[in-house]
Amino acid sequence: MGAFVAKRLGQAVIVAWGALTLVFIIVRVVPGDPAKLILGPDASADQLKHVRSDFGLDHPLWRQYLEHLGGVLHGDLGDSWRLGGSALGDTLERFPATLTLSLVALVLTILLGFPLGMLCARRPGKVLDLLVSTGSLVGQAVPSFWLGIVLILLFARELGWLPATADGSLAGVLLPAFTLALPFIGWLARLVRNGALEEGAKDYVRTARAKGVPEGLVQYVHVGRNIAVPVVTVLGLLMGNFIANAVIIEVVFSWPGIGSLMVDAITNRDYAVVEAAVLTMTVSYIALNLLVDVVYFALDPRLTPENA
Amino acid sequence: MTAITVPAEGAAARAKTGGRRVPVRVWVGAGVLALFVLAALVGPLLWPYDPVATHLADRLLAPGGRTATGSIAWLGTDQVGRDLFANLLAGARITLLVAGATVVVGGAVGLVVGLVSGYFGGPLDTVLSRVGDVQLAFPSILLAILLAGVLGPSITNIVITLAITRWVIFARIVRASAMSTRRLEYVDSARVLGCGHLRILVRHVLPSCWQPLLVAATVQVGLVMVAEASLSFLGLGVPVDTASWGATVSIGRDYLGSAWWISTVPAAALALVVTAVGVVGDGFRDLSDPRSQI
Amino acid sequence: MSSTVEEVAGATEATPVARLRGVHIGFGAPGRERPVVRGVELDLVPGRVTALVGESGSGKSLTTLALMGLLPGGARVSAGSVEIDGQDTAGFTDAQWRRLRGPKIAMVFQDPMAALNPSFTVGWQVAETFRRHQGVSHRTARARTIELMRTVGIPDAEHKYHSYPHEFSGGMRQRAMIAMALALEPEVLLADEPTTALDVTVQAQILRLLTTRQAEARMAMLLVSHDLGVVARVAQHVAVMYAGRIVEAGTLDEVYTTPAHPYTRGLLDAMPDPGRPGRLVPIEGQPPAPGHLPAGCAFAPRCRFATEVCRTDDPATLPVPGRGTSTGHVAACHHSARILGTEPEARS
Repeated sequence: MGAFVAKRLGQAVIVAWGALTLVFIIVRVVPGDPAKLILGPDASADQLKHVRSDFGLDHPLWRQYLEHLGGVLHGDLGDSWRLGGSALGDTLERFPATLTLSLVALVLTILLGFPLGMLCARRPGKVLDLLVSTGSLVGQAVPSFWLGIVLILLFARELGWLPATADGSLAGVLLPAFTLALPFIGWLARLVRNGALEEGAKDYVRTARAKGVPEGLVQYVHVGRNIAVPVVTVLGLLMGNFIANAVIIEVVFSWPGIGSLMVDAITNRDYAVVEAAVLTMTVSYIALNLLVDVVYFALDPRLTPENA
Repeated sequence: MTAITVPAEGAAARAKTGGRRVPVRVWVGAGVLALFVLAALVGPLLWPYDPVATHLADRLLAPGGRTATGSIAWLGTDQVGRDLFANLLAGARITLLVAGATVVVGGAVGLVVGLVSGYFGGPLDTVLSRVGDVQLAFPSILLAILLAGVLGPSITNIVITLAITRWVIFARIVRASAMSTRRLEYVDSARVLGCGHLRILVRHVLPSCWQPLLVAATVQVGLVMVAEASLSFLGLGVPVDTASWGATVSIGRDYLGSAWWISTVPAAALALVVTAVGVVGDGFRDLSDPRSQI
Repeated sequence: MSSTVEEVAGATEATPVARLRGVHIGFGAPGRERPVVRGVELDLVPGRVTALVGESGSGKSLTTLALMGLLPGGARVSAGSVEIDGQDTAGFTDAQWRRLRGPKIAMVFQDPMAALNPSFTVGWQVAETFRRHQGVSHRTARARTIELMRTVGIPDAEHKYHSYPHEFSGGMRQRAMIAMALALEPEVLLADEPTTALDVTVQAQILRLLTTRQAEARMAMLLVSHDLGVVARVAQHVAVMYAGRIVEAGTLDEVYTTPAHPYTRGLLDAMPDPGRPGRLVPIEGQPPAPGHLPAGCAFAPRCRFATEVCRTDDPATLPVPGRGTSTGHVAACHHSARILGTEPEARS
């Protein structure tokens, strides 16, 4: 187990380093002159020079890269020129909001998607099953930003049940989290349904029934445990997706998370903050993938470090 | 005896695949797509859209409302009186253009990288695969936002951005089929006979890659459409003076209470087209997947 | 027809704990089902091992599952009755069936690897029977399970309790399945090809375990098998199934020494016998597919005794001529008398 985790951890660190480099290239190399990007086209030569020395942009690229790497290792991603403070600090301050949003979305997805899938598996090809499979197809095609707008209109403006923006309450997170979750509820339900149908045909299900185990327990304990392994894997990936997709939802709902911070920073050319936001999200994405591997390993008794 | 039965079986199998019924929903999806392409190509010629025009008398007309000039705005008008139907058609053209160009560019890059890395293998393959790993470790929407933000809004830039986020997928698929073809006997014999690498690649390896590549491309078209709309919604996509479904949804946000149609019309169109792409993609995959033919 | 069998089987024996009376099982919509099992009569009596013999597809497994109320989706008992403890199970609710499964009737399946849940420990799965039916605590269930695992010959049961099925050998898995089936000391034990999936060396051990436990507890046991050698070692009664019907039934001795149905004759002739060296005689042809039964006797197309009547009339199950009704030896063949008078097919 330890060796397995260490191996995966090593891979994750390498991937994170690659991501860091990629972000560096995009922000520092692609645009040509970052100073011009920061100041806009009307900047004077004097201003440009000032900004360049401020941000170390007058050094050769390799040196900038090494300094940047060193900074990252010390948790320093530079300062936000707009907000003044440490870019990473600003970002991490808003991370809990994004995490809350994604977690609630994940919980909603599981709470609705899992039982829905089990219900579909009970009567495949019947009304509910067809409804869910169509719904999952349409749900993934409807743009989430518009869905969010419609939900605001319906539940916040018309019905007045839920607040449209963050007010710190649990109710405030429900609407954005639901918007984030909706496309994936049907998707998860399909996954659970197919797994349950496949597992439900296996001999051990008959054994459980032969022992006199009630049908509900047969489905949720015996079958459920066996589809848990693929489902848990997918949930980790889903959480990573939620953190990334939250960017758009946060803008729609003015949710004070990393996503809205990042979009704000991009429009204001605050690249230190952009870098910090992208890195935070990417690292959590990579960490979630790592976690999935470990959980997968722990859940399936048949896996050993050799065959995992 | 066997010489007679084997071809007969093959013919029967072919007849069976040829006669396989395409489900109705795939036809419906294909019909929607055909309509979309037609609207994107011809529509803007018949109902031109003027992004800078303002007709304040006609602002926020509901669908079916009559404008000051006496014409009917079938899908309503926006906050400065521009016709949403014309806007929809102009947006369809952008959506089609961006999705098509992205998939062609991304697919071409992916094809070359995938062929080279799958056919030759070795250290080059290792490097390219690791680059792909790193990029896939990145949520693609983040990469798109970052790139689009740095490059600035323009149609070319958004195609570049989205193609960069997609090439890995294509490269992976092509690499897998190139690798499996490389090991086939007839490719070996071609090499022994002295065929050059380029000739083998083009004549033997490439044909086996088309089908998976095309199936992947249909799936990606839908994803690219949503990505373009998302970027435009955030103001990072097409320039402000260009009609885009995502941008129109964004504009409509401010008029939700009074004019729900501004956001809804392009969003519904996008959902319809992307669903159609999904349905057609599924049908396409089922038809080309040899396993589903058994 | 059923009254005949009842007379011959019921007169001298103890009361059966489970019986099938004229059971038909079919797939498909009511009224239009494809019959797979046709009119099966079977009595399971305490202390007796009854073997159900036949080729795969003959309906043995469905018959067994019908006794558990566990017919697969689409299959149902379309006629006749499944009686357990003198109670007709037709119209039983799920809850009523659950109360029987475990304490009254239990089953050992063919492939123990597939029959055990790969994601739970073996001990947990055995203990589940105690927890569901006796409402005991985890601790008590665990103690009973370990004790039970010992009695079925699983060494080091304390530790093996926490092992997963994939960590067990095939024989050990089947022992665990047997433990699960015996947990609540059922009156009826069904064993569906319990040794088929096992190594030859392990088969004898598992059979011995089953028969020992059956004899000790005086259980009624139904052994489903296609292996006449296994049957000869274990069973006291034999029922031979062909194309969904029981074509011959009786005591092991009678059926093996004086088979009255050509199919039984064929099976026995196809069995290697050290006492009768020589060439094995296979039965020519294939059994009919369910739903595509020929008119008349289903075995007629493969039968060297078949005459015109066999192709038009399906024979009734009747006491074998010349033995009286008291022995319970029955067969479904127009030509039983002829077959009894014929010598075994020539062996050279």
